Amino acid sequence: MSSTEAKKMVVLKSFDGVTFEVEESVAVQFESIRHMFEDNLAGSVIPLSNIKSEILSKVIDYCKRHADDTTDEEDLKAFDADFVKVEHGTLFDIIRAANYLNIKSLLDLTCQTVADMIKGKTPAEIRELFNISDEFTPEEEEEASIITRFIYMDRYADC
Amino acid sequence: MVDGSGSGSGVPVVVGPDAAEVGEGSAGANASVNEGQAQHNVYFLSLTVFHPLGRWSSFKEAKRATPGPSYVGMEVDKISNLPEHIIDNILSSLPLRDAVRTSVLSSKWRFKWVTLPHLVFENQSVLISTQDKTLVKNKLVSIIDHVLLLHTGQIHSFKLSHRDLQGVSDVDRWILFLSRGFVKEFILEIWKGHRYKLPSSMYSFQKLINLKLFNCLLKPPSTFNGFKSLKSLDLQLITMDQGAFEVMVSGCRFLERLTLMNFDGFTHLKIHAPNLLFFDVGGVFEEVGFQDTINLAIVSISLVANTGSDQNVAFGSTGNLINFFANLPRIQRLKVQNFFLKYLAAGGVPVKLPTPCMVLTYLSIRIEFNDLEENLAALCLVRSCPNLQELELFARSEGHATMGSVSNNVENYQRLPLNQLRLVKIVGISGIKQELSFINFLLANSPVLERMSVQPASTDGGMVMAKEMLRCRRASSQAEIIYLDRVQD
Repeated sequence: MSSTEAKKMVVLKSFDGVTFEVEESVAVQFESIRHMFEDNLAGSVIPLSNIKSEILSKVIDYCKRHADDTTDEEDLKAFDADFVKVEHGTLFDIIRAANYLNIKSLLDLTCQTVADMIKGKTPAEIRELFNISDEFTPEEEEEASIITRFIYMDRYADC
Repeated sequence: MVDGSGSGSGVPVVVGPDAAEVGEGSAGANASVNEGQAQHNVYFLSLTVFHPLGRWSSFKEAKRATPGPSYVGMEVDKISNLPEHIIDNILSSLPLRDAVRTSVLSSKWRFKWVTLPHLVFENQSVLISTQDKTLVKNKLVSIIDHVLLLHTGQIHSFKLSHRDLQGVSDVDRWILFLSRGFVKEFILEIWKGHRYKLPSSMYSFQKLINLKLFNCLLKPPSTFNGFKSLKSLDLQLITMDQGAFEVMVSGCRFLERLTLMNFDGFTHLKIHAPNLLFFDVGGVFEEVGFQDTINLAIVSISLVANTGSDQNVAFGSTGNLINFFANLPRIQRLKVQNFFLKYLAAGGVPVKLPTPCMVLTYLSIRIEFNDLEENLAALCLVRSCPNLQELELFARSEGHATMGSVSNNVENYQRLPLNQLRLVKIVGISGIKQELSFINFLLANSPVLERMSVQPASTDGGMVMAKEMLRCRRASSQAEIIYLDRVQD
C-alpha cells in the first residue's frame, strides 16, 4: 500500500489470521461492523472470524471498486460480471461474507448470479449443478410432484 | 495485505474453524446458522466465548474424525443451507415458475418458495406450447389459484400482466383475497378486451403504497376516500368519473407520484395533492389545473388532441399559462409535449409569468414554430425561468405555415440574459425564419452556453440553415454548435 498517511485506515483480520488494511471510505460498506471502527476503534484490528482471507480479499476488491467514484457505470458492470465468474464454492463463500458484513449490493449481485444459474434448468440439472441430494421420502416426492405438476404443468415437473 | 502473521494482535481471534462453511455439514437442517441481520453482532462479539461449546469449533475436527458422507471430496451442497433470507433473495430474482419448481429439488426445498413476498404473473409465467388462447388462459387462472392457495407468507407485491388474460371474474376473486392481506404493491394490466371493472374490494386495500392499473374501469363506492398510504399511482387506459377521481387523488394524502395516460370519463383535470412530486399526464383533456400542489417538482404533460384555442381558456381572462403555473412554485423539470403548448398559449400570453419559476432548471417543449402564440408562450417560459440550465425544443410541424402570423416579431426577442443556460437541444426544425430567430435569441443571450445541438427534420436546405446559424452572434465564447444528421424515422 502506498501514500496512506492522510487516509483513515481500518485493519481487518480474516479467520486464518491474515490482516488487511483498508481505507475507511471502503470499509464503510461493511454495514455490520461499521460501528466498530466508527466508535473510535480505528487502529485496532477487527477480527472477521468466519471469513477466509481468500474471500475477504475478493470482498475488499469489490468494495474498493464500488467506493471509487471515478469508475463509470459501464466499467462497474463489466467488473461485476467478471467478479462473479468464480467457482461455485467461492461464490457461496462470497454470499455468506456479503451477508455477514451486510453489503447489500454484493449480496444482490451474487444472489442474482445464482438465480441466473437456476433459471430455465430442470430440477435434475439444478441438483447436479449444486450437488443437492434428492433426499425425499417417497411420500414427499409424490406430493411435491403432484403440486408442482398441477401448478406448472410442464416438462420439467417430472424430473 | 499488511502482514501474513497469525493472531497475536491483542484482539481475540478464532483460528481454525472455517465458519464460512458452517451449516453445510451433517449437523442437519435445524441447526443451520441463522445469519440473519439481528444475529450478526451477537455472535460476532461473543464468538470466542461460545467457541468451545459451539459448532464453530467442530467443523475441521469433525471432518478429520468422522467424515460424513456429504464431505467426501469437494462435492458439498453449498446452497441448500444458506440462511433463509438469502434463499428468498435468490428465489425473488427468479421468474415465479422457476421459483415454484425448486420445491421438487429436495425435501429442504419443498416449502422455500411459499413465503416469497413478491408474486409476478406475466407472459413468461405460462409456457405451454399451444396457440389455444383459452387453454393458456385457463392454465394461467389455475396457476394463480394454486400459487395463492399454497402461499403461506405475507404477499407484499402482486403483479398480473398477461396478454391472454381478459378482465374475468377470477380477477375479482384474487383481488378480494389480496385485499385482506398486506399488499403494498398492486399491478394489474389487462391487455385485451373491455375495461375491467374493479370489484369494490379493490378500494379496501389498506397498506397500498404503489398502485398501477391498465385498462380498468374504476367506480369506487361513495364511502371511499383514498388509499391512506399510497405514494405512487399509475393509471392508464382508465375510465372514471371526475368526482370520483378528485376524491381519490386528494384522499391519497401521501401521494408523491401520479401518472395518468388515456383517461376517459372526463375532460377537466384538477389535481389536488399537496405532497405530489412527480406528475406525468397524457391524453385528451380540455383543461389541466393544479390546486395545492406546492411540492410538485417534475411535470410532463402531453395533450393529444389539438382542440381549438377558444375552448381552452380556463379561467376568466388571465390565460392558461398564468393559471397553469400559479400553483407550481417548486417546479424543477417541465416537459410540454404534443399540443400542450397550444393549450398554454390560449387566452393570452404575458411577456413573463407574474412569479418566476426560480428552481426550474430543465425545460422541454414541443412547439409549432409557425404559430405566433406558441412562439410567444415558449419565449415567456424561457424568460420566466432565470435558472434554466437545459432547454430542449422539438419542432412540431403541422405542415402549413400560419399565414402572416410571424411577420414582425423582432420585439419579442428583446435582450434577456439566460445566465444559467448551458445545454440546448433543438430537434426537427426545417430552417424557417422563426426557428432561426429563436436560435439567434438563445445564442445571443446565453453567456455560459456550452453546447447547442441542432437536428433538422430533413437534409434539404441543411447548408443554408447551417450558414445562417454561423452568422448568429454568440454570447458564450465556449459554446459549441453541433449540427446533426436529420431525424431518423
